[in-house]
Amino acid sequence: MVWRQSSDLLIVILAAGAALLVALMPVDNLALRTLVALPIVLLVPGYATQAAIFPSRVMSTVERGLFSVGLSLAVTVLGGVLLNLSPWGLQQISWAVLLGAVTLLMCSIALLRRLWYGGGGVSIPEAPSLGHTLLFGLAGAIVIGAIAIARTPVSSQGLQGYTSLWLLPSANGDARSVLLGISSEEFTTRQYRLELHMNQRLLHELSSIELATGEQWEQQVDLPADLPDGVIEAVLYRLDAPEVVYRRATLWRTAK
Amino acid sequence: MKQDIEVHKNNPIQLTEQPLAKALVNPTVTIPTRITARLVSHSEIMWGWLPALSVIVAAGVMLVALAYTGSRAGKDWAEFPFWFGILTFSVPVAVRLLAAKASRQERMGLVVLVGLSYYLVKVLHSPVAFTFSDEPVHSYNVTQILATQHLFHENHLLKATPLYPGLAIVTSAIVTLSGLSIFSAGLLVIGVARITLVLALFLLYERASGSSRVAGVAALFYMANPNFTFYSAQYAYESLALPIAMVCLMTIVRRLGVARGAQRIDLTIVILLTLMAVEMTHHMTSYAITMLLFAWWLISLLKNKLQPRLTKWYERLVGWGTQRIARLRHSGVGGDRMMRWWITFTSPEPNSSTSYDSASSGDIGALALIAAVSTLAWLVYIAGVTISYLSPVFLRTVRALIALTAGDAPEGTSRQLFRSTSGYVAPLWEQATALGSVVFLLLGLPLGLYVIWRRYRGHTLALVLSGGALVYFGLLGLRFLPSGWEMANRSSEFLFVGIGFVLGLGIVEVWSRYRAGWAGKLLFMGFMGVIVLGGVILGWSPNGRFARPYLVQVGTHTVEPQGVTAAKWSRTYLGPDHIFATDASNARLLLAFGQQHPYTGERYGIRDMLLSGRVGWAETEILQTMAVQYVLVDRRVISWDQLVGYYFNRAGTGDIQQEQLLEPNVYRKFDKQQYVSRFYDSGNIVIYDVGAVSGVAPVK
Repeated sequence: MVWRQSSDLLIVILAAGAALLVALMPVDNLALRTLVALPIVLLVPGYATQAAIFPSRVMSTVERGLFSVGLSLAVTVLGGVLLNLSPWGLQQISWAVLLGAVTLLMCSIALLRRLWYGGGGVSIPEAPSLGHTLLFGLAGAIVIGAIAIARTPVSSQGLQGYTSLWLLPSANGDARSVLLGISSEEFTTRQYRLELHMNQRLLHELSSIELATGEQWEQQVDLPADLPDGVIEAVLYRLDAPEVVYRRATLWRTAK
Repeated sequence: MKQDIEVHKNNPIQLTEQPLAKALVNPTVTIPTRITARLVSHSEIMWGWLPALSVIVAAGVMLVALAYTGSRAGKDWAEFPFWFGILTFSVPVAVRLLAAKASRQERMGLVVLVGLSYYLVKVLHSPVAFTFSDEPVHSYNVTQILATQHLFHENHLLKATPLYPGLAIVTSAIVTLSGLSIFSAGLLVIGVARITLVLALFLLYERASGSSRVAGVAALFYMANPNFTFYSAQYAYESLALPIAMVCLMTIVRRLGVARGAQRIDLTIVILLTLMAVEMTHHMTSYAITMLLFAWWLISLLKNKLQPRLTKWYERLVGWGTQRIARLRHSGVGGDRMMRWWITFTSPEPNSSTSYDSASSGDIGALALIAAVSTLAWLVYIAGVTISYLSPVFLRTVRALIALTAGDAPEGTSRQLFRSTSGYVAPLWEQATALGSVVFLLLGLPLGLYVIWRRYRGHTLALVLSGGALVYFGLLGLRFLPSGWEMANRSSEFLFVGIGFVLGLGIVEVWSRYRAGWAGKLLFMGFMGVIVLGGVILGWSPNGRFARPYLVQVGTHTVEPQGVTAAKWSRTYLGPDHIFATDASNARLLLAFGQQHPYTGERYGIRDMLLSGRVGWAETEILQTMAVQYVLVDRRVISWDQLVGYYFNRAGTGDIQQEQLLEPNVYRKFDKQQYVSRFYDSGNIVIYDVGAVSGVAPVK
């Protein structure tokens, strides 16, 4: 009788086992991993714990659910602090092992206590009728639609895009070259002119760089060997406004 | 004569009696009737109006989504569907919760429905990224755990947050095991926490009042607290700690109703586990639950010790009052009605079916001590920096309280209600609604306190909750003082537990007693509507209430705000863990997207340094003291408002108007500095390398 009424514990153990399996085997499927991970963090350890703590207690489904979630959160928080003290830290395997071990331990205690005190099992609330289910489905669909509408990016009307310009020392630390970059988040394709100066001496010029929205341009530019220490300046112009400095970047350079 | 009888469980048959002929004869003559039967399923009775109301609630949520879409597009009509949507998902449910016929299951379902709907208001506001002021801070904590696989790293923006790692632990566990993004996992965690909170509140109120009807109405009043819609829904540690605290409180109440034995030990284990989890998750919530337990203990002690004496005094008072009224009646003043009222008022009703107050004060005292010791231990050994973080808030509150009670708040330091720091003044209808909500809450208070006096005055928890409700109104005055506003606001979500209980009792009592018809229902809907809207108005700045453009669709590409791009750029090209000085909004973006160490605000003089027109010795000293390597300057004034500084700016022409920018001598001051490189320019945002000024060697 107790074994029959403890099918809930079996389900819980299987859920913990699934989490461990997913952690040990590299599973790329996000939906599958989420389906396994959410219960193991937010429900399963707490359910096992409350089953162990209240083996024969008559409790409504809502109360049992509430204790399950509350205790799962508590177990996860406390478990995280314990993992922090361990050499393994908070990683996928250690989480799966910890939460799985807690679940298994609590289920064992629950089963023993059910054998001792009797009781167990879960009362399943009555399912809604077809009409009710359709109404709930309609409500759910409306909410999903609301979220989809809210997540839709706005149009660019009335807003302003932008272009980023950067001037950095070269990535390999060589003082004889610099890294120039432009990224366009404008709302239309733009054409630019880029000049590199030092003390009014034109070092480098690129007369037409065209970038669509989301495109990026980057180039390592070699500097003349006789260049003294000082400020290197990069000036970006839009070809549709060639006299206006659109972006400006500077870099203090030492010859070393 | 017509009679409807609904029965359920074993006899699901609805009977109606209808007269076969009109009563043309003497109405006292019994007319033969016909009985018809209609099957009413158990499911219909259990689910009640929940399915139908769920569609109405969803429609309200859709209205809010449409409102936000309009506000992002800069449309003026967005306000109306926003407010109407909130009313749609809350007021019809309130009316149903007040009805006697709703089943317990239906009431719980309705409470969860509305609680989730309020949460969706926040989710729909920012459905693609964390944009509320504390969210990037907590998101960074998760990132650090994922990167280091350990806790207790550093967070320059809010130093205390990594030391209360509960939220970050749960989120990182989900991210690690599922592969979800921090944002998605965070939304799920807070959503589950929200459901837990409203259900735990329902069960707590049900235990305290003995009525699921009162519990449902009380839970709905709780949801009208100013912080429920936005502040307590954001991805922040309090949003997780409060629900766990409610589960703890609910368990304590349950434990007190159990006689000694193994069952009490079981429940004690649950209490201890949840209490520890709260203490590791949020400081203020752990202090609040500790203070509640001490207040409960104190009231319990006083009640036990003073009860004989109080009973004697009370009997003397009742006797004296009865004599006075009898004399007045004898001399022709007053009458039987006055005497009946006096007897009714002074005689307690038989208690409702709550047995939780049977335990001794020692139980509560022990729990209070455990809570205090463990909270203190965590504070001293792990989270000592919290003292320097919170003590200014507490000190300001104490000074404000003293000033308020002495009535000598200095001139010019009072806070103007309904005026934001950016100068926005709330429209008249908002001001009237917000003030009206406070007035309505005040009006409802005596009704509930009367019910508590008649039925629950012997129950300590009811007295504690009433005390919380009274303290809330007492602290309202602090909202007028800049130094007290923060504490008054932050205490709402704790003290409203009491207000929900008191108002729930009062409103259900009035409703039951006077059996209000349609007029009463309309009146109640108006009452509830003002309270609900008032809560939203009071709880969040109008600047931040409506959604703003965060992502812009251009063909197949999605454009992010400049601050997000700059923060990501810094991570890619400068590497993480550099010290930045910047404004409030960009600090959060640099933390969350750039994994940098930003300093901002008035602390350490960063704000003064950034807003000055020159780089003099004072500014240099700040850069050197804080070892700032990079300065990110955002020339928009709005970037200093962390509620709204992240977004695209919308203006008529698409260009930012000059009055919305800082003065040129402020945002260009580093251009003239020797050895300071200006190596990133995206228009509004420029990043300077000030390592030469601050003495920090460049790293990369």
